[in-house]
Amino acid sequence: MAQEDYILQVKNLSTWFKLDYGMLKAVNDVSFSLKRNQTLGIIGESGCGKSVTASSILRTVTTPGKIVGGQILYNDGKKEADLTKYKPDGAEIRSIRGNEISMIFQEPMASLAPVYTIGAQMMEEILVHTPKQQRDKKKAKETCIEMLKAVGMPDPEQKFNSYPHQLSGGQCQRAMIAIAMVNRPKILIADEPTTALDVTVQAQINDLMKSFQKQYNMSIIYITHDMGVIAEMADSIAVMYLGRVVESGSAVQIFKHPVHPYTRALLRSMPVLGHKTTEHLPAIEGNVPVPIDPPDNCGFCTRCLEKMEMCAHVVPQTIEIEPGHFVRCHKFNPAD
Amino acid sequence: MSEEKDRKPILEVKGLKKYYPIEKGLSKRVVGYVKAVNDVNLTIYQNEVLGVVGESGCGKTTLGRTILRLLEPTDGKIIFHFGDKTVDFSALTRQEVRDYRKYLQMIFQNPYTSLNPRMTVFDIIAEPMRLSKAFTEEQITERVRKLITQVGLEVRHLNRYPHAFSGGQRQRIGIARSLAMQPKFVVADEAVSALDVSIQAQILNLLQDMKDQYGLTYMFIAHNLSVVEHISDRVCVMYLGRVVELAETEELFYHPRHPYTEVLMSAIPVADPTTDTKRVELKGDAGNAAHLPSGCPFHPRCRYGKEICRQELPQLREISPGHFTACHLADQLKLSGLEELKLTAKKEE
Repeated sequence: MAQEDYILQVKNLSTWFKLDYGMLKAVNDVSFSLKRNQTLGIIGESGCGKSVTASSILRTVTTPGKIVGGQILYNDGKKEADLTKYKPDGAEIRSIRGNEISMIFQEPMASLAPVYTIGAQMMEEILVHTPKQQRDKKKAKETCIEMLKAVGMPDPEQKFNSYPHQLSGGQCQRAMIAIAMVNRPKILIADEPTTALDVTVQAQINDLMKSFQKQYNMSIIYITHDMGVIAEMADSIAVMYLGRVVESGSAVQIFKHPVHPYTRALLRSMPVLGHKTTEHLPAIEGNVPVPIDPPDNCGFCTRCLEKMEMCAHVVPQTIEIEPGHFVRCHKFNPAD
Repeated sequence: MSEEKDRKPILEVKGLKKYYPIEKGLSKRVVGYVKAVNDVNLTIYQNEVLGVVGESGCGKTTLGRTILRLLEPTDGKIIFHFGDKTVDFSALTRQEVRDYRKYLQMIFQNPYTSLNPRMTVFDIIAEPMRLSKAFTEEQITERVRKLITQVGLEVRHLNRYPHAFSGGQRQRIGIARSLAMQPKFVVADEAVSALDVSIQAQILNLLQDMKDQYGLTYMFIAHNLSVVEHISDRVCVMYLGRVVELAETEELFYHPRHPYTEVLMSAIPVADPTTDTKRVELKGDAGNAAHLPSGCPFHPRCRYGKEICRQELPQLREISPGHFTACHLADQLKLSGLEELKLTAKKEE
């Protein structure tokens, strides 16, 4: 089956948080694959587990959270390794984290260290990942300034010595990308990188990520709740709801031929540019539940309009309805 | 609904300015001003939704708050027409403003910080009525019960505290509170930005229902252009404290007449992977309202900029009926609207 060239395959991943009042199943039996040099979009509402999925890959899940099952297979082109087998603070994962797999975060202002200059934070990233004997500060600084230039930072030499509070939101996000890109990662995980930014800046940052992808043969996992952004960025898409991937496939499959009731409802409920009506938007009624000790059912059954008898007490299985297009819904299960 | 000639204005804003002084040193010497709202002229008609868009720091929130006199204007006139009564709102004393507060309301962006955590939902919604001293406690109870069901919650929710509710539900409570005094004009400042996609649609529908039911007029401030297009009758684009373009929604989206609007349009992400966007590039970073450039505030970033743009400040003028723009070159430029920018691929895989 390993015909396709996957750089990352997540198989049946479960990350649970043991809380005083129950088990929070943030990520529950999640599978998806990322093809080399492509962009995978993960879309979902707040609390659906998309950010925990990202931190599971980097092994930065904090207690009381724990990966309780599944595999994260990372193939760097030479060999395949299961990241769940590594210790979260071990040497193996640390040589990958920030080096081969990097991440950029949602709030650029809040995710940069306020008491270090942009330059210091970039240099650290390089120096930490080079063996002690080969560390060369002068060369590292040159690389950093080159990278700041590449991300379109005005005045790179001066900004190298600036602190985050001296930069605007868009510049901070450029600095974050520069930090994440400085080691030429193979995978970039972007967790809502443009949510806090203006549309015009959002467009610039997304274009920048696309051009880096081409230039450095990078694969991207792009996490967002914005359907518009994901349509622009992603080659394939995984739709998450309440800790599970409910539908996944190519961008065209998801946007043009969605089959899961949640995906379809989600696409219907947003205002579409150029289709102005005075009519009501077909909103999804109800609220997103919290997955604490969730019953064994389809998570969407509380809000689903096509709900059947069994949805309330059987977990649907993932089925491939056409090549590459997976859905987790009882409507499509031939065995039922 | 906008073709009718007899549209009555509910609000006229003339030359409105809001400057913040920049102070320096112990003596608080004023060394300059942040011109957050800079000479804004606007008319909002009864029962319409005016969308206000622009990047962060362009003054859209300050404009909304200054109109309601939650912030004191530096200069300019704010004139409201409530029925037959015309009120020069900017000339009133703070005491007199209170008499008119009931007609004006605001819906806030963050449903988590705009409700008092120590008050029950009942008290939150009842507070404006209690303060007005115009209602008996029975009338208040009756009205609160009616409001809570109107916004899609239940009477049993009234004794709970805000922390027991999700973001969407809290926004409903905020809407119920703002409707308690039967306002005429509501400023919704990023009212749906903090909400999830599926909840956002619920709240947008609710806002529309309430508008029809109470005959409201909205000033809808937002940065999500798809949402603004959906809800607004007319849209006003702001840049560095000034209105740079104002037109009916479709006209503005399809036939923009200001280069900044063109940039905004090209930056909107379209939820369709078969659509290709022609990106209009925007030079440089957002301008600073403390150090305004000479001439047109947009000229350092404008790709059409000419000599005149550097020297003269363009005034907002009516370039075609109902379509206002503040650009020297508006007559010469052929700008692209949505149709030209968003190219839908013919082939589908």
